[in-house]
Amino acid sequence: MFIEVNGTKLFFDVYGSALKVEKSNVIEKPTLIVLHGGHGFIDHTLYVEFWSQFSDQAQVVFLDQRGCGRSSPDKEEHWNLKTWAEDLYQFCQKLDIKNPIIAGVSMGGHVMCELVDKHPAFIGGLIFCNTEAQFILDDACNALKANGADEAAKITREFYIKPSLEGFIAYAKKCVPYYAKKAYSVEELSRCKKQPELFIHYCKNEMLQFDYSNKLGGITCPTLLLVGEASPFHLPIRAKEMAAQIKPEYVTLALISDAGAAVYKDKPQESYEIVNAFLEKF
Amino acid sequence: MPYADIGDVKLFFEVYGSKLKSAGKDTKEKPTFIFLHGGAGYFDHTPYVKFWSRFSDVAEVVFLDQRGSGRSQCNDMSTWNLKQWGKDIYLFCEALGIQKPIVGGISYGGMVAMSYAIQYPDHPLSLILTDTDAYIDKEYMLHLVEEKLKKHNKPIKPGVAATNAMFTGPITDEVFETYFYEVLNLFGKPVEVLDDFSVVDPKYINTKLGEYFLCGELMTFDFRGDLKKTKCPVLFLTGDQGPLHSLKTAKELIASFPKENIQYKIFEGAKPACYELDPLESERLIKAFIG
Repeated sequence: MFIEVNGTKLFFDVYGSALKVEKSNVIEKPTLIVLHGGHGFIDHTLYVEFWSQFSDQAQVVFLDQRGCGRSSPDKEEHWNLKTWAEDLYQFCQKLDIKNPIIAGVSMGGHVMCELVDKHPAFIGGLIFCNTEAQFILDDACNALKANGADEAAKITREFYIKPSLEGFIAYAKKCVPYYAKKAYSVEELSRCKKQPELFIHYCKNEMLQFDYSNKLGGITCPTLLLVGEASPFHLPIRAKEMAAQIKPEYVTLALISDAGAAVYKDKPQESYEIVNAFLEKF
Repeated sequence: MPYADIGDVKLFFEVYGSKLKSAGKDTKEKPTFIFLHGGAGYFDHTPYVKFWSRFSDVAEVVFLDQRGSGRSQCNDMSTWNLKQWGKDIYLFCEALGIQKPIVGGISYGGMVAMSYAIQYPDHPLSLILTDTDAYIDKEYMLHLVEEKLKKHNKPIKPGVAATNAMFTGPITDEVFETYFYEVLNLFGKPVEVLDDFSVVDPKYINTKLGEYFLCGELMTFDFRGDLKKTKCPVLFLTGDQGPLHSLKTAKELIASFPKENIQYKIFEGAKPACYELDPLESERLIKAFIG
């Protein structure tokens, strides 16, 4: 389905009902909104396999964020965290979705940080998956070098310092394989609708600049940080730093050993159990 | 809980099944199938989930609580009419970017589906109607009730009076119970599940709307002429035992659609909801129709 919000048209797909109709009873389920990462290269379809598993406990709503997937391509002045977060807020307002649990992977997590800054009160729960409140390029490059991936470290640095389509092609070829042992398949990636200039634009303007570390204290809902210990890009240290900023009564930090990004590709069962247990809070 | 804003009212909708289905490199779009509940005011979508959500593998199944019913409460009585309810389906589709929907409905929901298809003949992909009518022949219904009561050696007067009162008002609890449990129970083969009232949350039951419609427009509307304007394929499932949705009026409904567009199945011995008598065969027919 599509909905017009904040001056754009967003596509969303729904897995699972909002109500659980039992023999003589109806139970309201919470809403889980899944935010994809890789804006411009990835859309929601990549995330359906793992996150739709929770459609019994929650109504799982996948959103193609502005400029991505089946949503309107829009213009580069709107390809930024502020707009994506406002879109999400207005999306929920328009559909009357109250206290959503929001799960964001990678860049989806960056959007969530902006949302926490601007509209903390309406969020019901947060799942930060393979993401960070601040991306530190040196740390990512050093982690790659520590894995013996000197060439990948060099390409990563070049791409993020001076983002370009050619740089991204090299990055996708030489660096993305270090994301996880079991990466997304070519089929899964190729069915995502693409707008590469959006990703380049984000890398040029925001990827190395944003820092929401001191905003996380404003979180007032249960929050899960789910990260693989073996990911050089979405480093466990970033998740630990985030956890330290969030009020202890709200935060659960789950570091999964021998897993990269996406953590649930390398460790599907363990990841499933952690998210499943977290959702039982609602 | 999602609601769609269609202007003067917000409609609660429920979704079973995704729009997209990915396999390998490809992602396919399934059609959207909007199902409309019966029993204006008394029912909402919940009793219909058990049967109709089974199509979620071949369609994105969307249930609506229609204006004034269930979780879509609306107190503006001037909008409680079939023209508006039909228009609401179009507005709902506009609000959510739904194109070429399959629109299905039972009883009152079927009438709304027909109203929508008459007003927007190019909009639907198809209609799936069950246990509904293009008009109500009240005298014939009362005749069927009288005959049935006679056959079962039941007192005729109170049964006929309750049936009449259901459609003239006032609908008291006694009228309601007599009609549903002493009159309707005599019709058709018993089925395991009829429309299960128990899942309809009492706080969402709008008896005022129910009475307003049952005793008002339901008795006066007549789509028999206008159904010729519809353009899409129609599947109609019904039984031959309903006193309200009778075999006679079913045949009139069938004759009202363009001949080339309608296909139907009449379940012998069935009353509303006819598909409960043979859910597997109904499922097969509907899936074959959706394609």
